[in-house]
Amino acid sequence: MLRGSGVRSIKNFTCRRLLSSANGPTKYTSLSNGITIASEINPNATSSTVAAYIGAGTRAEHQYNNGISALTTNILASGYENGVLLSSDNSKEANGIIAQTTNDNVVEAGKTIAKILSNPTAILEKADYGVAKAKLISIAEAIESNPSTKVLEHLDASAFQGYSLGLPTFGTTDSIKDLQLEDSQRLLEKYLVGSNVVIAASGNFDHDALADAIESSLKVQQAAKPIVKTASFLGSEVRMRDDTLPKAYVSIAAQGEGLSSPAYYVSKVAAAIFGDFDHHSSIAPYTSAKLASLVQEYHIVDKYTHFSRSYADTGLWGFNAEISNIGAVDEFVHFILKDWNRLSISISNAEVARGKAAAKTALLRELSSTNAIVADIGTKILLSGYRNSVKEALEKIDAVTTADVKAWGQASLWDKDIVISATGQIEALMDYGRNRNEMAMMRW
Amino acid sequence: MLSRAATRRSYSTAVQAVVKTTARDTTGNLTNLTVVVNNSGSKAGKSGISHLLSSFNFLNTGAKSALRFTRESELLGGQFSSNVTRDAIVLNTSFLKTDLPYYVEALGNVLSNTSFRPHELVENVLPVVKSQYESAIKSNSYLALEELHELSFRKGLGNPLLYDGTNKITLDEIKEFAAQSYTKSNISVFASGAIEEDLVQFINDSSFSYLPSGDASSVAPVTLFKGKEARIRSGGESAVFIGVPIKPTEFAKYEVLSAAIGSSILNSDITAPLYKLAGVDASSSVLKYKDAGLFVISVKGSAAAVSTAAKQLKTIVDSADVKAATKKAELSIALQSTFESPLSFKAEATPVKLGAFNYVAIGEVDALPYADEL
Repeated sequence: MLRGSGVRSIKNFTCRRLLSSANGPTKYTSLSNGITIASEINPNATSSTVAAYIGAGTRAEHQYNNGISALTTNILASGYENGVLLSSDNSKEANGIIAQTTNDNVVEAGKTIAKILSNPTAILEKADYGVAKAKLISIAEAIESNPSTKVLEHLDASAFQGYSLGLPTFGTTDSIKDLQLEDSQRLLEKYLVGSNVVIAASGNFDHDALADAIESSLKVQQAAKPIVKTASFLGSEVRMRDDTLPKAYVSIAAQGEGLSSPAYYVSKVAAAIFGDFDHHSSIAPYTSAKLASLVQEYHIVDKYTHFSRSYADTGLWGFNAEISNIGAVDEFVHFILKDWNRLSISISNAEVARGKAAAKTALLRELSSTNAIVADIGTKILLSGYRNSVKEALEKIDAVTTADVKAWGQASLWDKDIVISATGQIEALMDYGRNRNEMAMMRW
Repeated sequence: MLSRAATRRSYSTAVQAVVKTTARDTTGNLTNLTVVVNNSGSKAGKSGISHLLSSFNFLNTGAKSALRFTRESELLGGQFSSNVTRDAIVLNTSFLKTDLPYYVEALGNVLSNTSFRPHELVENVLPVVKSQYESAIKSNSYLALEELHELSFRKGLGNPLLYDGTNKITLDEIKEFAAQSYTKSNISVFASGAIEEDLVQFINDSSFSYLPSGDASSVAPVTLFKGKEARIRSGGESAVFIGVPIKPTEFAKYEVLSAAIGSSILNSDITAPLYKLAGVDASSSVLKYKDAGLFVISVKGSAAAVSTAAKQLKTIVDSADVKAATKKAELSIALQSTFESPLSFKAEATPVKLGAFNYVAIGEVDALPYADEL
């Protein structure tokens, strides 16, 4: 039994005095050209971030111009001027132009963003594409040379093969090589339109002053939001065996939930129930997840994390693991998939309560910097049209019941196709059919 | 109520807390509660002992087993960790606001009542410490920085950050080090997302009050050494590191210099001279400790490219335009300032010459220059 406030806090959520307020008030302004400006004011912030998020990413690319949205954003958003540091944030569905500055200089950051959005061609024409392409190639190669990130990149590529969502986020050496100014211009023509841009800001500043500064200097074309083709999940596997690597790196996922899915938070809780594990941690023997206690006794895995990643219309739900005991890869995969089965059948109330608590603090912990907050605001508004408050998110997690989790498991995991991505010494990773069969069992 | 309290950053006045406490309330739902144990980082005691002590944190205490604490904490969704820096042992916890009393009590128990069971040293602590050390030394940058600290400070800040197994350290020595370190005068508590009066109340009611008062440890004055050189043969990436040991009063002007030539904090600043060096990854930073600091320039990449780039460093530093970089340095300082260690100095545009420096070459050293060739 827990002491003190612990138990009370789990049972009587509604009585909480402190949880009654949101993470921070978010202010919204819609400009006449269709662009939304959203600011989250944090009086404790030591610096501020203003960012423009454009809905593009690999979803605006095809295999011959893969990398163009990251390349264009990197060129537009780099350097330093007038107290404003520019950087970029590229993902598969959105590209962020990030301006960081001191709190008192936020108007300047707003103007810098407005200047970039209003006349990107001038910046692109002056840029050295050779240098920018070399930088992007080194970023793309860094992902491929780290086995953990490589496995995740190929997990997406395999799951959404044939769709733009499956393309590598930063392109490939081959695809980046031939990109040029005209490709950037073609991309911006279609995607840099008022309805496809969100300006998000976080820090300690005056929202109205920022909005005024942006409105007075921002000129962006108005056009309909570009339509993004939905991506379809395909059960498949990609094996990149490399016996020169020290370990086996395996990631397996089922189709997850999209950003606006009603089961978005249920799938987050489900991932948190299985959680993370690190064999080389002093508390590894004490963690309570059933899977963790199974694997740590025999050291059949070094490290795993569970994730529930969401894109606009689909997602991936699964794990990423590192295994140095390479003869035990099949055992580990067996135990983890069998444990997933329990989600549909016999998951307990205590496990769901633990998963909910972990999901709540993880959600709050993610929003720990001004850059993380603007990324959350920008991508959520762009991709799902709205962003719920932290308060609402916590309430939704609190409302998740054991029955919801079971129902989600039965609908989304039980006997569903999986995607497998692996590299390193994966001789002991069983064939696709064997692993696919583990997604259900003969007995209930 | 909360919006009014939000901007408050207060120091305890009404009821005095038994340890130094800094708290601020926030509008969010998360509390970050951090305990900094000063004078107990890797600079203190036998080499590596603070890493061992830090790894004992959150194991069995007289009040609660590690199993029970881990599982209760999981049920609350909280997270906890203990890290060693050169200055201090830092215990971090983060949890939902309502769980403050639980974690204050837990931290109090860790500091005043850890059991130090013999089997835990062998089964929990040593394997973890070894794995952390082994994963750290895979990085040439880590090795070079360790060497640079040793050259610049010899003892104290020059001690290895992690336990490398060279010294034999017994459980009794760890216990004794804990008794010396975990005292009221060494401990500072920082809470972001907590009401000051509540926090002070909880701290005073917890095992924090059983800590010995201790005396502010008399710290040996730090001596700075310059003009030293080391070369480490190693596989992996080649790199050269230049280090200038500095006094705390010089942090401000070196932050400006760092911003002018290419700070690692402002790493997307493509206008910086270090960024423009061909074929290498080069940046500078000011490592700030309590009694001294280290201004570091690092250049990494292939041995040939590093060798060419390294020879330009002296010119880059000596021709740095510090006047123009003041505003940039202010941003860099703002980005580095945290609640637990706020930076209070202002950027100061004083021209600095590189002068005498310490030098580490690592990787394919056959192809890398010597310090006097720069």
